[in-house]
Amino acid sequence: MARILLVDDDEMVRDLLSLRLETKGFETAQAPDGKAGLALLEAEQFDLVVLDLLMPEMDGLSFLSATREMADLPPILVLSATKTDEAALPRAPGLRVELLRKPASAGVILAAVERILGES
Amino acid sequence: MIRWGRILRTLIIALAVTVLVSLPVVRVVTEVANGYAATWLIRLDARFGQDVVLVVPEDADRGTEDRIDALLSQISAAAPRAVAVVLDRSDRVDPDALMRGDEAGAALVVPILPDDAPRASEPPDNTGGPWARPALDVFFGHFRTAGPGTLAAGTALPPFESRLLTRETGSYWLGYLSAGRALPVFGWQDILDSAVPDRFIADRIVVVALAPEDHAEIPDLRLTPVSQPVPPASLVAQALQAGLDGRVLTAVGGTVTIVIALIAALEAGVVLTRLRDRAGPWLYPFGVAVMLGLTILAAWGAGVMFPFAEALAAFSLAWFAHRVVLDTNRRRRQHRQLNRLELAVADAVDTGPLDLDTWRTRVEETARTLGLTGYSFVLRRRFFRRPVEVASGGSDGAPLARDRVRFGLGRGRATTLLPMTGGAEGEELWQVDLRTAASRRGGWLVRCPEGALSGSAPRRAMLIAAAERLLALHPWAAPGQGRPTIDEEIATRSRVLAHEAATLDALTHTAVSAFAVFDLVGTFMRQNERMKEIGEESGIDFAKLSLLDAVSRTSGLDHAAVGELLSILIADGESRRIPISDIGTRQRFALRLSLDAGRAGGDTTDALGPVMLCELLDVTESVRLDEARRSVAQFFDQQLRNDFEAIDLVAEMLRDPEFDDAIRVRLLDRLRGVTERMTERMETFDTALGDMMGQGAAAVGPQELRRALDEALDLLIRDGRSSEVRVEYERPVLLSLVRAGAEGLTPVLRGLGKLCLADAPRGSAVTVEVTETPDTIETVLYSSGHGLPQELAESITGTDEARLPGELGDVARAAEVVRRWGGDLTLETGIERGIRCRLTLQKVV
Repeated sequence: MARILLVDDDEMVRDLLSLRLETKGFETAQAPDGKAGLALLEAEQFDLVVLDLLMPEMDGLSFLSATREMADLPPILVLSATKTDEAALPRAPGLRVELLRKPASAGVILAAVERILGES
Repeated sequence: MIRWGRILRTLIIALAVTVLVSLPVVRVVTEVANGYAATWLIRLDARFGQDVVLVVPEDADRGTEDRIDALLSQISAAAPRAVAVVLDRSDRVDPDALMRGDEAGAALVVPILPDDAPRASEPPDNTGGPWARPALDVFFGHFRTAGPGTLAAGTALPPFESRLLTRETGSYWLGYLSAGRALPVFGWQDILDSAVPDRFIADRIVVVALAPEDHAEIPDLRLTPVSQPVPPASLVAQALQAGLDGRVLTAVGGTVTIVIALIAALEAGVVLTRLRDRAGPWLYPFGVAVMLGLTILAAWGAGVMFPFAEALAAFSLAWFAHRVVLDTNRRRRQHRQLNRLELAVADAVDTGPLDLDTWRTRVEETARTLGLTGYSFVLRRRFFRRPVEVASGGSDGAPLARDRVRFGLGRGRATTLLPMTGGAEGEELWQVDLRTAASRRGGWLVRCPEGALSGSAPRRAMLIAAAERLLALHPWAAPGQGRPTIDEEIATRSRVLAHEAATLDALTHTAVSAFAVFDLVGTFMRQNERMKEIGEESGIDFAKLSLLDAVSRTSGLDHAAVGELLSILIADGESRRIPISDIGTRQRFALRLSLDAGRAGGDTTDALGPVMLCELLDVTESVRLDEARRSVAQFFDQQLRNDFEAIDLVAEMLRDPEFDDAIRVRLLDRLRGVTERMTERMETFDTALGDMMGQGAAAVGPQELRRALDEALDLLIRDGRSSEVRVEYERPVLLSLVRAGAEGLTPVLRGLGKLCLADAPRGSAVTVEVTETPDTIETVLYSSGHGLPQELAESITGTDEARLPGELGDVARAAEVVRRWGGDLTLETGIERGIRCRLTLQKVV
């Protein structure tokens, strides 16, 4: 069973996404910001990270920059409402990072998660 | 300091002028003047003269007049043709020889007219021209025996010789008896005793001598009262005599002469002053030399009648009065007045001419500002010299118009603007015919797009004013012929400076940060102190820039864009506000351009109009407020996006048939939570927006703590440098707003910081920390100095701040303000424990 780390500052969104993914058989963990997300990522093993960009304490871009020094990183699905270019996202060498623009329905997010995990 | 060289030079010039120029001139002038004066006096004497004037010594007995009357009767009975009066006893003249005409004796000879003869005749017409002395040889006067002034024996003045009158020639001369001539002298007593021998009373000449007795002095009959009033005719006759001798001035007395000389010298001094003011300082030494030369000549030509010492004294007095009283003090007063006016106004307006390259640049910039597509500026340099075209911008297509400009320069009395034919299609051609108050003439032929000038009266007015200004600034412009005196310059300058001061005063009271004034053609005129400070901070010296350069460097726009902007501004007269890039100052500014049209008449009294005003408005706070509003809006925007995202997710999941009822209940519960949260946020957002629309400094609403900390700590860091105290601060990442006063948060933070700075010892640090709790944000500033007694700290926050000095008063005021905001301020301190200020503020979101 794949483990997915949800990193988003909105608790409601995290709960809903977690509910949706869990109904599909995924195991989820939640982090309210990039700092907590990094801590969880270092402590536990995940198969996918769903990452929001705009967060307090440590936003998504800072999270991506911080992961450059880490090894064995899972793919990261970035959810962003801004006009960020996927190629401009910082990433560790060899790390797969995909960008999904908001607003995105739960079905679209679920499809992207399944696709990435399937391809991994 | 005595300038000997200058004095010596003046004397040399005076002598040279005297010898080479004044001598022949004065001789001729004196001859002619005396001749005319004598002619006039003769006529006057002929009209009003009396027959006989007799002077009797004061101590003569009462029978003297009778005896003299008898003598006169005897003389009349003899009916002589002439009477010779011998004045001095020492003079011996042979009367017989005198009567025979063998000897050119000298005597006061006066012809006697028969009763039926006309009293006098007009002197013959002067046939020698205006420069010749009128003929005075023929004179038919009246018998006079004596009179004050004619008896010059006691004056020690040398008598003049005269020729003996003869019957044949019928010509007579008047003069004095010369010394050394031998004439029989009859004593005065002889005359009184009627003891004059008959042979001396002939039919032709009677010789009457007036001489004192032996060992007696010749009476000074000049001072002897007359037996009868001296008629005016006698004075006239005396003046005639004096005039013939070239002694016109002394005819009326020495004292009056000196007074007249002094008055004339003072007037000459005043005239010299005025001349020097107008013509320049070179005239003064020349005029002094001419005056000195004329004075010397007058004394020389007039002999001892006009003492040289008197002349020099009069001239020296006039020179002294001119230099010390009239000139030096007056100029000193005038310069003091001018300096006071200059000091009253910041900076000096440089209205002098520009060098040619700068002038050409001004013309180009002015043309661009006015929206001209081509121009040709023609200047008339000197009379009889061809006009010179000094600036050109492509007006070759109108040769006829150009010729008209060349040859028709300045014909009118004022500047005129005329539309011309011959312009290309879609273009207008205009001619500005210039003639300024200083008699400078020029013409400006301009081309512009159709409608640019014809459709805009302000633009036409500005064209005229700019053309006059450019002409006045040209280095080749001929100087004005009517150079004003220093009085006029002072008056004009006073008006100009008063106008500038009034305008500056009005400007400094407006709510602007800084301003610089440029004239219509872009030349810098003045700036205020705040502008100078900004210039020093940013490295932009506005005083050395033209208008276009200043706007271009400040705004980052190129010259073409600035020129278009100014052109539009001139046309509609509306001020323009330009956001400017970072110019290297701590504050943020916006540039506002406005035009003060003034009166486009070119009058020198309108010193500050038309002008272009460049103002740097301090928009730091408004920029921060805009950014705060933007960040607040972004914050709420993000929050609302999250809410909508959550709602979309819930709605989609509710539609998903895979979810059972239990999950649907949970989803609906989530939905309810989201909507409640959204409602709360919308209310908060509305409140925050309303507060941020500007309720004034006293309004309490959401404020950005982070920005207030930035500003307060900037100032603290600067203050700390002087006392060698560091400020350690790690800028927090906050998206929360705090509830505080609109403009009070920064002063509160600064007051706390100053207290800590005052406590911190040299070389230590003041630390600032910010922490966030769910409901509040806490800012702590602490120092490690000697601290304060805790009891004092507790009383500070609850004390009437008016009684606390310095930083303690600031903290007390801050505590009061924070309580009004709903926050809290505490001081933790103790002896040798430093000071810890804890500011707690409510979070808004």
